[in-house]
Amino acid sequence: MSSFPLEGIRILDLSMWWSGPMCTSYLGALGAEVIKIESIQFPDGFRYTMAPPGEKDWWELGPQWNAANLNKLGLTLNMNDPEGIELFKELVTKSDVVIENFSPRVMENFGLSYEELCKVNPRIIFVSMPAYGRTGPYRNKPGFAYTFEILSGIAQTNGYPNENPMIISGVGDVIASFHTAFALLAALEYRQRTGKGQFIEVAQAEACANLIGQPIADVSMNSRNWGRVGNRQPNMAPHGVYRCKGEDSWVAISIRNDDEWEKFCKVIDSPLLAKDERFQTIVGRCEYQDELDGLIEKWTLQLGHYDAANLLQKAGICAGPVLEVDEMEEDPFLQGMYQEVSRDLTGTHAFPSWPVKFSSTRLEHHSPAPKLGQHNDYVLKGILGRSDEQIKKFEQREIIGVEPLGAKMNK
Amino acid sequence: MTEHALKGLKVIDLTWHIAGPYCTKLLADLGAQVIKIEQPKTGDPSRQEGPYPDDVPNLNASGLFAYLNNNKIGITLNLKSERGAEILKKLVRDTDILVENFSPRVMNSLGLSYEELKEINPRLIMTSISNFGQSGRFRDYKGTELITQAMSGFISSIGEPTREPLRAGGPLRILEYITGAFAAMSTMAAVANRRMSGMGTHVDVSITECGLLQRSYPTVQNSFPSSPSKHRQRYVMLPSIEKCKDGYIGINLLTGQHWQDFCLMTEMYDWIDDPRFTTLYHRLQNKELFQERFDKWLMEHTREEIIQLGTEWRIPVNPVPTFEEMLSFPQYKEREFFVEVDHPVMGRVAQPGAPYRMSETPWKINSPAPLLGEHNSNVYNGLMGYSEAELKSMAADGVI
Repeated sequence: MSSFPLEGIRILDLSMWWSGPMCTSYLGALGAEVIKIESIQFPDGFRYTMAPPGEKDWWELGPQWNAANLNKLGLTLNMNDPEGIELFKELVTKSDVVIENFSPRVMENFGLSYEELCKVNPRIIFVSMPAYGRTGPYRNKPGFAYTFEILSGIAQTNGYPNENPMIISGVGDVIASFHTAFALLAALEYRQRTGKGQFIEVAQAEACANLIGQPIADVSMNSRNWGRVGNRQPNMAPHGVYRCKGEDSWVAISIRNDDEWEKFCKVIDSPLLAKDERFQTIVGRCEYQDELDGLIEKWTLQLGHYDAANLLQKAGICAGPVLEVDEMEEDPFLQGMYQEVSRDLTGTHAFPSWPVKFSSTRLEHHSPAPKLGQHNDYVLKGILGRSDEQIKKFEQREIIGVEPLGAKMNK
Repeated sequence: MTEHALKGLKVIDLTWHIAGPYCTKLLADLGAQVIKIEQPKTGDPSRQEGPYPDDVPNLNASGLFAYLNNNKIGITLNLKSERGAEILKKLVRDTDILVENFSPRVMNSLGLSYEELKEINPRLIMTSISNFGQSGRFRDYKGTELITQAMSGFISSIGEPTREPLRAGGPLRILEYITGAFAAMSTMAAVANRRMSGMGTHVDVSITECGLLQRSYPTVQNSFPSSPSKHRQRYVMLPSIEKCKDGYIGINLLTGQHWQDFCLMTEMYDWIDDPRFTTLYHRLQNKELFQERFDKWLMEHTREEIIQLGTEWRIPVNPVPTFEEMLSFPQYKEREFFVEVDHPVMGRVAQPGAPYRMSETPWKINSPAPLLGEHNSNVYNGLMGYSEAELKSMAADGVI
């Protein structure tokens, strides 16, 4: 396949933090022209996350911002200035998609409803990603990945057995991001077929709640509320993460059936375990899983996590090292996913690329995250045909710029 | 009359478990015609996962299967039989998309590799989902949700730093769902590509690689020398989800301002500027001290009281609804998020509704998940023109 199936599609991306930006980074990798719109009054807050306050150009140096915004162009526009709004609307006439993940009030305050944008471009696809939805009592409540994870029920299943529910560390954003990308691509397909644009609302908490069909069925049919079971899985035992040699080193093991249990006993060379009547069936192994876990850990503690996993995999047993952060880039499997990307100011870093190959060719990043306002000229001159003089005026009036107004205050 | 975004797209669905069926669910719920092909007699293993009404096992009444397979046409076909493979090839001639999530060598061994199917239909988009991808020396590795989460680095981030790492989402198998969604969007990318080139594509999606995207920052963060903190261990928030007088409550402190307001809210005035607690990093260092005092406060307050206080002090405080509470949670209730689907065996069962609301092409459940082989006659007689006698002989031979 051509590496750029979305060539010719222009996306105006007002989204910030992770959920929206990850979606548009993917669409950018597919060849869409993604224009990320910030302002010097309100840059993406992600720019400041883990960035070194006070260093020169520090709003460009945040690792998370750099990782979430590959494959985009950077434009600044002060949307609180009527002229900023005018420029935005003019851009809408030349674009295919608008996407934002503000709380519902923000676009309304800008006067940029879907209906309003349809007046200037009836073919526009407008994607809105409010945390909880544009309606309902939670409409205006602050929302972010941790709160989606809690309100979507996912946190109810996450945690140590019978202890507090736990969040899943921000992954709610990725879940919302992927569902948004799918809906958006479906809307583009529909527009190809019919010429019609549309409005898409993705309440991020609801996108996350799409993963809980099974426990909802259980509570609906049997009034049973799922709780936490740690690393265990119904119908598989032993099933867990076991400590290995070394500090904070672990191997994951899943035994799916009796046959694998038999093989497992051979690998760990324990005829005693193999013979133990209690462990012959899945029911028994589930019942005595605490005891089994202790016995298994005696074996894993003697081995490195890769070694333990390899021995088990050789015998056809599901096992894998729990990769720690400092092992991921060098891991023989995962290293295929990392791609080096270079950028002014931050140099060359390995970023995760995309977990897909199209006819054997991996989808990759083709440009680094933009600097604030880096492509102001390209957009304002190239797309909107403004003159150098006009652009200078925009700069003077702080409609555009390349340095956050608040940067000095935040130092 | 409402329209469907993916009307006219024909999908052959060979998938099982969660990742593949979730991918085709997303396609089917927006109007693609999905023919799900299952092995005769036992069908998709998620038919054996339940939950079942009153816990009585029944291949035609599994809650997981029902949720993942609404809107699909269901037939059985033994792909391991020569006749079965021939029938599949016939179906492939007139289809747009084929989705499968077998182990990587299976389609080859059935004579149904992308190369072979492409010969029959060059416009075919074939989406293959697997644990470790279609190529490379790891493709034959054996995996479950736990293993793919481990080998992607996903679980090394979840759990208490001093205890074992935790699989995210417990027994839900969320990485399978997330990968299903990623496979669906990548399939749509291939559809967009076909509009330009007229040619199909083989879409190869790996579950473990998808796991890495759930943790796309820690390695990058560590590679930026200027970033003020390094990511080494499991990552927990403090406070996060806490036990109070009558249940759980979620409290999220993201900024210094939140911390100050939190101290005022809980009347722990002496901690406002106490360096042991002002940042997450330091709170975690002094976790026991923090937790002991905070737990006392929590046990004196109900969920309702803490939510009220959170609103007053502008701190992001959330209830932590159980699944039962979710069904009547005001936000979901008012938006009519959960829907009931009437299933011929299970009766009316609640499930999550539209994950996105599209103004022109709304998400919609048109039919419940198929019973095993429910549409054999519709497809084999109706669509493909086999006679009753042929159908009977295929059934007798175990082909369907």
